[in-house]
Amino acid sequence: MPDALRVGDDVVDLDDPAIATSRLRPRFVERVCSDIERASLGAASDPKTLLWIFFAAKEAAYKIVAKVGPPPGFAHRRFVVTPDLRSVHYEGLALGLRVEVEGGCVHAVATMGTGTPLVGHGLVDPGVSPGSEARRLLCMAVARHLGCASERLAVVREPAPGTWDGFAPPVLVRDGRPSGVDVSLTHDGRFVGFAAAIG
Amino acid sequence: MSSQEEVFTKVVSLLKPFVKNPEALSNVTMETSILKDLKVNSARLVDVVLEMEDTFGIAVKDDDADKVKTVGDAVRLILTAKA
Repeated sequence: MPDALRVGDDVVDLDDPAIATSRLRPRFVERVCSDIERASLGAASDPKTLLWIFFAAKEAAYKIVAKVGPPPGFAHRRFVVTPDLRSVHYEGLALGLRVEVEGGCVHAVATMGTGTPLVGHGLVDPGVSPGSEARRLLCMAVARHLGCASERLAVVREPAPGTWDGFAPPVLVRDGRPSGVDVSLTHDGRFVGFAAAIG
Repeated sequence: MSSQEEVFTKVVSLLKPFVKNPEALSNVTMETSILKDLKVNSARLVDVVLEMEDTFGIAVKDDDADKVKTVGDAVRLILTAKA
């Protein structure tokens, strides 16, 4: 029996002023990137975008690793993205990677196990909660895939003291019960994204 | 030797450029969550750690950075590093 598919995703708003100067700080790059990644950045025609692809890929992979074992901690450098941007390696684990760069947004989706995830990203309107918008997009996409009403789906996060934000990873429920579909949600700046282990 | 109050004030100051929710800074306490309450995201958290190193002349290990969840955690980490 193939391994169940697991997903993690991360979006980065490339025009967010708060990250505009990060790539200019060598210590930021040294803190986040492996030697191989730093070499790729040195040869890249667009190092800013490549840096944030690496960052989003590492964050996406982190979400899976934290689901299947102890949280890895503040360890960006230990997640190594391959030069072809097809996988992320972390202490013996090799995770699949899919990256989309579109309209000022990087969306990285990491996978563990067999299958192709359902993924999407989009802009969030000003004044709308990005967390709520990411949940809405996820539920609509999964409902379309399953052929059910999106109102039957919801995303819940249980309290989990000690985790980075005090909550466990999101769980997709259908008619109030866990759906068994692994999901991931993300937002940054103007963008939201999601991944679901369906496919 | 820096007092806890001095370090707290400097930490709040260095957080300002990275905070997505500036209103939360007006009521910041040692218990304020940097990620949840101030909405500092993970990319900005790397910058915050670098600012802490520069401002206080310390080196923050990855394992120690991982323990910084609240403003108080940052203050205590700095005080320990400078002791």
